[in-house]
Amino acid sequence: MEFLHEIAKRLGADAFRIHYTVVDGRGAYFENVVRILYFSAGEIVLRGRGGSVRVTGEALSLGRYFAGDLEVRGDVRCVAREGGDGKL
Amino acid sequence: MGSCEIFVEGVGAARIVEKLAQGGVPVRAAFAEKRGVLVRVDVKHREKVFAILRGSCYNGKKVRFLGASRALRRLKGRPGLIGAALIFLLAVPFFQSRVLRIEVTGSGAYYEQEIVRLLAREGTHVLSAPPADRARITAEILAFPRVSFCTLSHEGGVLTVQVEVSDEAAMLAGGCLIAPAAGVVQSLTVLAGTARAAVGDFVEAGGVLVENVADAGETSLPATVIAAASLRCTADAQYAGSREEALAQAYLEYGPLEGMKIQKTGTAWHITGEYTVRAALNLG
Repeated sequence: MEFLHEIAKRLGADAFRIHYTVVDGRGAYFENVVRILYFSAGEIVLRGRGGSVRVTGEALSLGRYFAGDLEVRGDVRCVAREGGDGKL
Repeated sequence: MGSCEIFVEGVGAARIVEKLAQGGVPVRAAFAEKRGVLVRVDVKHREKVFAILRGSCYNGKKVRFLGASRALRRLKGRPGLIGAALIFLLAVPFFQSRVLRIEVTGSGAYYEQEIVRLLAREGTHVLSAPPADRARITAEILAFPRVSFCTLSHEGGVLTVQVEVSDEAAMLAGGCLIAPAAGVVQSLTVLAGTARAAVGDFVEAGGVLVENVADAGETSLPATVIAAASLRCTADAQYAGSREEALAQAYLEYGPLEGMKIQKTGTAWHITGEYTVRAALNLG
């Protein structure tokens, strides 16, 4: 935790938010995922250190998920951040 | 190595995936379904998945292997198939390297029996290895009468002997080239054999012009004569009857005479002159 505090101090808390990249029609890639809160074929809710992210679309499925990295497959229509910045 | 799919029955697909991820099992894929979630993990983590789910409200079942691991597992249950495949893989190259059939083709195919006997003498027969010294076998086949071409090939287990015959390769006559009449050698062509006379030499009738040997240093090896010669001979004969009859007989006997002289001697005609006679053996 000390190490994380130090990083957050230098880079800001945004360093640990969920980062994502969406590829139209193919899926999306998420980093810094702490938990999967909800998972269905139409909606996926992910929680990171600095809030949550809601992914909606069609025929969604999970690809590789390990060590905070998550691949979402399917037609991602919307990715919305939810919740404010949380404390570490 | 390969992956497998496990259907985990229970409520809360996200929770199932989380449990596995927190338990140190990398999830390759997850598909939310009605009564649970279908997760795809590495085959090596299969037991770990069941260990994580054991004691929880989730029930893992219906394991389906994918990729190479699926094929391997199927093969494990079929030892007969593996054995048969191995035998086949070993048998094909072995039998391809053997002689399964001997075929004699070409215009000389009528020599089949002799060729099969020749091959058997060299140790080549059905199921044996192909002949090692093909050049020697080819040379022996080429010595057959009228054979002008021969080749051996082994492919796909079939030993093919192609033999072609030609009338030009007819057997050559033996013996020496003999002078048919006494005379002076005008021309001598020797392709094979040893000349025993030279141009300008006088040879008696029956004399050897070309001998059927080949001189190799101090020894002589037998050879087939291929040679031709022409001799300038002298005609000297007497014929009875009329002058015309005498000339006709001389023509029949000697052919056209050069420098012919005809004289009446008593009741006969004395005809002299020169003629050319040709002798050849296996040439022209």
